[in-house]
Amino acid sequence: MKIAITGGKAEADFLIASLKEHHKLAVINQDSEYARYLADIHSIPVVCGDPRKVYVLEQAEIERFDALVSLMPDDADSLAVCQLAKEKFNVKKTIAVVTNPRNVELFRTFGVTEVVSSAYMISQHLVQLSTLSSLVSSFSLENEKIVLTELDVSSGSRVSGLPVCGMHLPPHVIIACIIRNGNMIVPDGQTVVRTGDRLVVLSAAETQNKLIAIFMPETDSI
Amino acid sequence: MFGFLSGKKQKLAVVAGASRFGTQVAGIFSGKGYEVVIIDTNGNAFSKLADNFEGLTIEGDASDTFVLEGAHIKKASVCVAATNSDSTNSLIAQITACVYMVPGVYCRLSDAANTDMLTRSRIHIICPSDLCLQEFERQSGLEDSRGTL
Repeated sequence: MKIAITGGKAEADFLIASLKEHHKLAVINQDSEYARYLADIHSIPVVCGDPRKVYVLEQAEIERFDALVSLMPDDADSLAVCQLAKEKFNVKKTIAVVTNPRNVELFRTFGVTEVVSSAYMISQHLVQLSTLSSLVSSFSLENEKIVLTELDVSSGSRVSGLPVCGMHLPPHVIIACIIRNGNMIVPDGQTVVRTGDRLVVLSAAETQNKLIAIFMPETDSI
Repeated sequence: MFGFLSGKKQKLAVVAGASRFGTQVAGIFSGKGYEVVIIDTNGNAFSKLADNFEGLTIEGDASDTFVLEGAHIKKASVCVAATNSDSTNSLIAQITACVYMVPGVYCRLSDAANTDMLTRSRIHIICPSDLCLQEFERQSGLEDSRGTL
């Protein structure tokens, strides 16, 4: 893929280093000193100029690119660059990195393909972590190769209402028992799991994450 | 003051950016009987407002939806994006026209190279350099000979 990286300093440097092996890259950067530094260490084409200007994007031949990433420090500038690339140069994919998390959904409605905000991602991640910690507790056996996981079936969990055989469990997983209203049930394939059940599950350590994912409420998936 | 909060039918104008243009536009709306809210990130910029300005000033980033909501943008009948950044004005104009459905949205741009998208959203563009050029052509009488220059 041909990707243009506009603006940014350390983030631009990092992105270039991680993408240059498999993609054709070009850089547009306003800071002439930093632009020269990027050109020197990565040996990729660099245009020094303001990516918000049509003539700078023309000079970079931006219409030949499949994607553009904007790392401008001001969110409004990132939106301007992405919209310009899309509207005037028909760049299919635009990616904006923003600082205000409220701009994530806003910029998508204004036509930016992907909008990334670290604060937004951290909050999503923490929400998921806190949901997880309230639902899961686990215990390792046999040098942490085998884990015993306790999983609560919350309302909205994907498995609620499904029989055990319909849960598509990964291999090396056994539901040891279901605790329902304080009573223990040893399930077979036909036993239907309900909201409020607590499942005690024995599995290989490496399948634990897959297992937890199956039990997560649908709305919490990222 | 602020009859729109108490349900009195008075029109609200939100001006984003206390630039020279922004403060004068705020004064015009105020003089025409509008309720006016003017927003700027720099509180000192409000000193450009006329002494008899009766509107509300908000120190904040007008391209942030929280700040705009604090300015009652949902009730506004007109919004003027008059900060000194084209990108910020374009963003404010798009938010107010497309998200808050403000009927009259005006956007000042010093470089009017990418305006198709804005005009599609019924945003009025005001470009000082274009106006300057038109006025030059008019005053110099060169507009009739356009193309022969």
